[in-house]
Amino acid sequence: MSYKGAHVQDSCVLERRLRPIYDWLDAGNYKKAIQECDKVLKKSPNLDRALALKALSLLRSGKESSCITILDSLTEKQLADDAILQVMTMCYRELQQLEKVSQLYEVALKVDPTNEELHTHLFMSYVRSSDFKQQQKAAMALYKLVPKNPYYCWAVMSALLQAIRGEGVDHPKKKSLLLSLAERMIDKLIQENKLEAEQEVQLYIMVLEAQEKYDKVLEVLDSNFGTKLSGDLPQLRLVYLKHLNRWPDINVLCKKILSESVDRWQIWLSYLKSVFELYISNNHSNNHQQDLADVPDLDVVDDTPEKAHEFICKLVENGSDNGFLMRGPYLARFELCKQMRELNKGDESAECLLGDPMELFIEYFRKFGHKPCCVSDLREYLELLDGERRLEMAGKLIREVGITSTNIPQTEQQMQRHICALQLSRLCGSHANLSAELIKALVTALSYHYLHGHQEYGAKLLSTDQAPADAYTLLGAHFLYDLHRMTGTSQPLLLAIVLLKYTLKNSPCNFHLKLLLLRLYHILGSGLNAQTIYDSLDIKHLQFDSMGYAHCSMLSSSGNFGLASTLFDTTVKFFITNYKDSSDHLTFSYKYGSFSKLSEFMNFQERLGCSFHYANTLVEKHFVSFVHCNTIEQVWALDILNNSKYMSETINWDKLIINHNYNVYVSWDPERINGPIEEWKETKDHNERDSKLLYIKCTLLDCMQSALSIFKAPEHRRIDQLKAKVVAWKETIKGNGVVEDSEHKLLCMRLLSKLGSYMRAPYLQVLGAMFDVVEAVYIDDMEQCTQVIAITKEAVKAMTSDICEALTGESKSPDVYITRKVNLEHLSYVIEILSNVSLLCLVCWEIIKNSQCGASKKAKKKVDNSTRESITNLVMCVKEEITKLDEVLKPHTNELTPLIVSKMGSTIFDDLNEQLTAMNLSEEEGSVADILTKAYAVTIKELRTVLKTKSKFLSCIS
Amino acid sequence: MTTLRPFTCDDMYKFNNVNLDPLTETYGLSFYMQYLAHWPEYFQVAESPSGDIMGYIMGKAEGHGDNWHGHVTALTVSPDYRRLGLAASLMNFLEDVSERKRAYFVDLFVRVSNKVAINMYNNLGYIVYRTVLEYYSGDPDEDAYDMRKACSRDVKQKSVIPLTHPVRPEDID
Ligand SMILES: CC(C)(COP(=O)(O)OP(=O)(O)OC[C@H]1O[C@@H](n2cnc3c(N)ncnc32)[C@H](O)[C@@H]1OP(=O)(O)O)[C@@H](O)C(=O)NCCC(=O)NCCS
Repeated sequence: MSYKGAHVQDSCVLERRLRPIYDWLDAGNYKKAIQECDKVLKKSPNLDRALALKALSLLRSGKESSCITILDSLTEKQLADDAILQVMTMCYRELQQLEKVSQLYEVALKVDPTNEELHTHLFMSYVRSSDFKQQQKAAMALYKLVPKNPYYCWAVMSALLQAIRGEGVDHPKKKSLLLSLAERMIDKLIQENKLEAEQEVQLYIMVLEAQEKYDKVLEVLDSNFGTKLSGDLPQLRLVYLKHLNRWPDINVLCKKILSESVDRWQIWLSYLKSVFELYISNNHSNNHQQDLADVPDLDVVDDTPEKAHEFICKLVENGSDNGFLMRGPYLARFELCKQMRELNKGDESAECLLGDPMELFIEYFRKFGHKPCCVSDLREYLELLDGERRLEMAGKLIREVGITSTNIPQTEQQMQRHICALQLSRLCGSHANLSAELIKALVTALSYHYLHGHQEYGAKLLSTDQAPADAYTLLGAHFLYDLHRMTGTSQPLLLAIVLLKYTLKNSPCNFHLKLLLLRLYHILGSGLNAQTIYDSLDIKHLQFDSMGYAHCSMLSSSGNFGLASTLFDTTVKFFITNYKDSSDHLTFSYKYGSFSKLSEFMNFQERLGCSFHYANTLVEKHFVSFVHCNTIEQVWALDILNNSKYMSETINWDKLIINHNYNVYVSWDPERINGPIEEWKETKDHNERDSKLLYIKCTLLDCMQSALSIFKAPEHRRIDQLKAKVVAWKETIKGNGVVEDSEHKLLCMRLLSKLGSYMRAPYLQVLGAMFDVVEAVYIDDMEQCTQVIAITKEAVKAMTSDICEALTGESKSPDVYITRKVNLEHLSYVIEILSNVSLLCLVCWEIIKNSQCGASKKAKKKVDNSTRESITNLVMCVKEEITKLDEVLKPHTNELTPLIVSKMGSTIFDDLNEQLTAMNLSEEEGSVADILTKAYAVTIKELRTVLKTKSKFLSCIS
Repeated sequence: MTTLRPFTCDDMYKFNNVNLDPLTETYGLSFYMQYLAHWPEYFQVAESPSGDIMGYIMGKAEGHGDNWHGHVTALTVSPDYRRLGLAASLMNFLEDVSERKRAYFVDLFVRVSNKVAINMYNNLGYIVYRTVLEYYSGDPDEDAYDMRKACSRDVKQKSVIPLTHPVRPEDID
């Protein structure tokens, strides 16, 4: 810069003058920041940093184009002042124009080619845009300038990434060239005796591994370099020994590790794998006997199941690691049994060696039955027993615990064992075919056990401890859900809520109770109550993605558009911020040399960006914004109008991934023996339905976007684009045909996809006709217009009369809660449709206004007037229908509570009360009905407000 | 079941059964990523045979001169897998790494109300080095114990002579 000489002195003054701008920026007050910039720029109009800061402030206050103008002018100046470049970098990152950052630094380096900092920034800019090739070049240039090891390693890593994630992926030749280049680069370091740091050794191993040079990796591990690694060396060696099929070595190494610590499960798995590999290959090459005489035990290779059994038994006998009870060797026996079974299908060799597997279960239960993990440990091996024997075992375990209908656990341990036996029984299918009466009796017993367990063993617990007796309630809730499925009534669900709420009062921190409550409230369509529970779970950060779906996706279809809108915003914000930040983590990895994490970070970034939940929330968010659009100004300020692309084009459909965390929902359903929930067929079907639904909604959103921004498109393409989008949407819907609802069988599964109910709502009838109206108005075809308006009116009337009829019939329905839920869902769709209709009416209106101004159409004013009339007529009709619906909803907000409760007095609550009294929970009676009814009334009130504003909105355009 | 393996980003998608525990904090993504990028060897997880996360430990190495030490940032075990020695072996691992890095001691902060954890750390050889006033914000704020255990490099056990006065959060280095 020109004033370089006086730099030091000046820079203090400069910092002082610029400070306030940074402060306003930090405080998020961009208007003030702009004012401050202008103040500084008035005095020194050529102060580029102030200009850059102004660009940033403009950008953050939404003035993108003014920002870009300044950035362009600054770019022309070919600056090399890093402070300015940093600010510009921020702008470009926020504008998502990463390549511009690299260009900036390329230019800067031409001005100031020996500046280490600028070189580093250039390198990092390529990291952010995943341009591995340029990364490598930049790193080498940097190393030539400043020969430090880390820079050199950056170059090696960049070459490696090119090979495994860049162009090498599709070009095997290039891949091997790049990899051998990387290896040679490291060899050079070694020759110069410069390979020192742990990270460098790791990088070396990564390069060798990518070339499958496992022998060489083992050499490195055994050499001096190995001592630099802080990971677990033997465990590392195992990885590479396995690649090389060196089973005897693996066997001996595992034995050594296990005899030092018997509880290392992965090592047990490797050990048994090696035993069977050896056993199988020995069988082929006919027993060659080892001469065992002088070899110490541990160095003997165990190559038969018998030897493995002996080894396990020895470790079991030797007992514990530093006093703790270790599950490892006991579980190893199950694994041995399983593998023998798999190897010798149908023969009895496993039984000959290990005895009746049932005995293994019973022994394990005796040892670990007082630990909650006993159930999930054994679950993995229950398939060793067939259905019948499972039942037999379950019976034995229950008897083993000694609790019958006439006695209660005498100690906390006995209670834990009782719980464990009950959970295993459920897993084994003992409760699969119970009658309703038996289930009721069982639930009553469980609630007694809960009360007793809580009183006896819960009193001394801290509020942060997990109370063991809570497990009785959890089980009880699952049984009640079974009962609900059997009877199709809501009563067992209410009962489950009572039980869970009661338990939650005693154990306010138990998240299992909350997760079940969340689910049950949603099953009953009570989004508002679900929200209270959701809040208490304190879901945040990545949990938005891993757990948010269970709640988020249910809110708008239960009529809670307000709540949905807030949660959608938070969720989308989480994704956007973190997706942007994720390139920071890559730069940290280079900075700290944690090269092994780079690929992992990149995969994670992709997983986050391709989250199904993210895409779904984005789409839903727009529809909710339509519902909440109350004035014409709000319409033209809708977010969707800022999108430069159509939503369906921005979603990476092939890569969408469901990041839902299933295993946090505990349950003991027999189905769980068949593997993790995410792999069940039902789960996959469900996911597929959800994807279909998202696609339908997304194509409709495209139509809405196209219609709302019709004047943005070049004139000759306006209507064609809309037509194309509408055709795509209609075809998507028709392609799905009629969709039957699937069944929600188990509480641990995600709630049902809404595809079925959505398809039954008259989206196609009403909105399909409405798009035709838009088109007819646009091409100014009066005849067609009259015709499609008539169709639209009919469709809207049919829609409202359907829902009104359903709502009026609600109080007569045998099970109010179930009916309400169905109606509320339907009502939400209707309101969403009406919101879209309102927007489209506005679009028609704009088209008419536009053509009347005579911009392009030639003197068609007469026709315009009649078009205008028919649109007004349509708007009036929609308004009337809205009023009708609103009237029908009125009694659902006021009189409802007493009405429904008295109604239920005869049908539902008799039985419920009885059951509650039997469960000693009668004081809670009615309260659940109350909160459900209150929440329902609040939701209906909210929906009525929406309807009223829609009506007002329509008044403005006619 | 104490085979530990390095914690990976994907584990964050399935650690809810552990993190929903009231004494375990779920941090922002960047916080975990920073640890993964900077101290990957200090971030370990224990997985059950059924694939659940049983518990994990997250830590770092920091400090200058004879203050060079290992620090436990988070240690947690799922309620279903407690009292099986898991936390003990996770701590053991972190101490080993710190030994290899030639640290002088290992330290950690714990809520003064967290009796279970304090008792456990005591049993593992940690002493209360000092009290940090109002270290945990909340309603009301809560004090922390800064607990320490000397590594072999601190032959004279200088790092574990308890302070007699409590300190304020801004005074800890
Ligand atoms: C503290 C915590 C990590 C302990 O995990 P753990 O795996 O159950 O602990 P271990 O089995 O390794 O226990 C080691 C020793 O600590 C002590 N201990 C652990 N839990 C205890 C308890 N609930 N009551 C009494 N002593 C206990 C015992 O001396 C135990 O040895 P022992 O079982 O042979 O008597 C676990 O309770 C937890 O995750 N709590 C919530 C998160 C938390 O508080 N973290 C610490 C924040 S700094």
